[in-house]
Amino acid sequence: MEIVEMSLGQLRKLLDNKEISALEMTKGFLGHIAQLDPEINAFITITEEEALFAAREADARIAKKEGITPLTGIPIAIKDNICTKGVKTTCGSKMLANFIPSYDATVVTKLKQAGAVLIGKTNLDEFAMGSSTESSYFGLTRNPWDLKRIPGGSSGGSAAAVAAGMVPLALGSDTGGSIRQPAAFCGIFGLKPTYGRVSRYGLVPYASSLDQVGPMARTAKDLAVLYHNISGYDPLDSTTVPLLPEKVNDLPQGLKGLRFGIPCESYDKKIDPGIKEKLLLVADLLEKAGCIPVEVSLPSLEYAAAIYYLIAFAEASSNLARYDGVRYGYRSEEQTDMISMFRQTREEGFGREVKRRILLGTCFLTPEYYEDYYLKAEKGRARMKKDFARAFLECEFMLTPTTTVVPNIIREKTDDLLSKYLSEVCTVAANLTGIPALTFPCGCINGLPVGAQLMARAGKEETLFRVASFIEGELGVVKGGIR
Amino acid sequence: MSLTKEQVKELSSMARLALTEEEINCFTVQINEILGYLKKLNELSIEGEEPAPYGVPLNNIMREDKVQSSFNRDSVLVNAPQQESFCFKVLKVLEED
Repeated sequence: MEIVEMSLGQLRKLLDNKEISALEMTKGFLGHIAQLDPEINAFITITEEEALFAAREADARIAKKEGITPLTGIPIAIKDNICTKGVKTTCGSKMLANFIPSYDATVVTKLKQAGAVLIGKTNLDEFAMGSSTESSYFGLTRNPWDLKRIPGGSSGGSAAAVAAGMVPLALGSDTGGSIRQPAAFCGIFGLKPTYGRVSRYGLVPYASSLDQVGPMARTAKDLAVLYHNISGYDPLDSTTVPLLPEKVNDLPQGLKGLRFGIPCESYDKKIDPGIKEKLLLVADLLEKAGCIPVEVSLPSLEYAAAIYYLIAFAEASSNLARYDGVRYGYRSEEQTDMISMFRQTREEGFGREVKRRILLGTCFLTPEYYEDYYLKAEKGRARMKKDFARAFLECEFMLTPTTTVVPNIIREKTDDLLSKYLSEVCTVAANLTGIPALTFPCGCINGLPVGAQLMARAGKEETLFRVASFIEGELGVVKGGIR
Repeated sequence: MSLTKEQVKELSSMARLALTEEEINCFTVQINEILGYLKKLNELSIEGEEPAPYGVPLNNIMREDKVQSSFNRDSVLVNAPQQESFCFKVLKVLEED
């Protein structure tokens, strides 16, 4: 087996048994990237020099048998909206095309401390606003399963890189499904952690009450290990949750007696019948393992997309006010006074989708629209939290589709704005209610991967890993993306 | 309630976006389409609900008031579009009388 196909555990064994050095391993992955990425375009920046340096340091740790963690010497890709000290962090935007952070995001610091090898920064929809990775200033990313198709987004670069074997692990960010939808489209695992579990310090904000950094991997266990490494209390994040992270190194087997909810609202007619079939297969497997299916109802789910867009765009319009061309980022040459400098800078520096969301968010927060739209969404979110709390009295986790469709052809959907926005209907509820949600591959339709989503109560990532790991064992690893 | 082109221009001014005529036209149609969809929210019963700014319960978190090192000046200024004498340089903000 080639290293590009290997799981974290297999790579770890090679390193620990000195069958391969971290330096050789990093060079191997860099070579794979050099070969594939001209076509896939998963990376905006490849940090070869830094990676080779980190690999040598990892080798020194391994030689001394000191400070070895599960990630020591393992190459990892980072979504390009997560700050890396001294390495360009562009957010896929012209606005930040040359931005070099003066600090590391907490998740990056944690990975460096663990001895991981950060190999590059991955492509995304501009400012993480999108679900296809078509809107990046640095060009679109292609799905390694079928190069004519989108990888999903906004963490499309991370998903494509992991799926194609360019890295075993990557970090993404998820505001409304930006880890889970591309993970599903690329046939890998992805987790949106409980809000506050993973530090947002150094994550360039889109919608702060929804954003979370999370892991992406090709196995459930790898996903758990990466999550374990990046999660935890962080005084630098004002919305950190002071809970101890659960130990997830050894995932317990056996699911007997766990109740799983099937929300009737997420299995309506809009789902691709093939995807529905795969989900029923998963439900069967769970039942055979001793899980108990329960029908639950989430009446507010139908309004999740509307609530999500109101809150996300409003927060975005405020968050993106910082890009004014004064202290960092792009500045327009055309300026006659300060105000025209701001306006022209933002006009030239932002792409169309970003401008659209800023305008909509500005609109929602005007006095004319605030009560009827924005405030209603915040109240709708409260209602939704109650719906979920009620449903979770009946079950330990829920099973839903991650997406209602398989990945579409590139540029096929750019005109149909509303249907593009509504494609996130399955994933946004977890962000709105703060709960963890995990997507796992559950088969293919016409050679394209399908994902299913698990959701649990806040702080119950452990349950999700257990279930995903079990299904993975039953269905086998999906590898159609490896190239 | 649908927005006119003039209102979208006003929004763009509030949002400090210059926008071309083509963009104004396109966004006016799209914003109205989205606002139309969002009316759906009126069907949802929110009687008695208090606005929920976050998904999970959060409390203010205080950290100790300790002296810490700040960012190195050069590493911050390296991103400045224009700088002079270790300061960010912008056009004149206040007019002389």
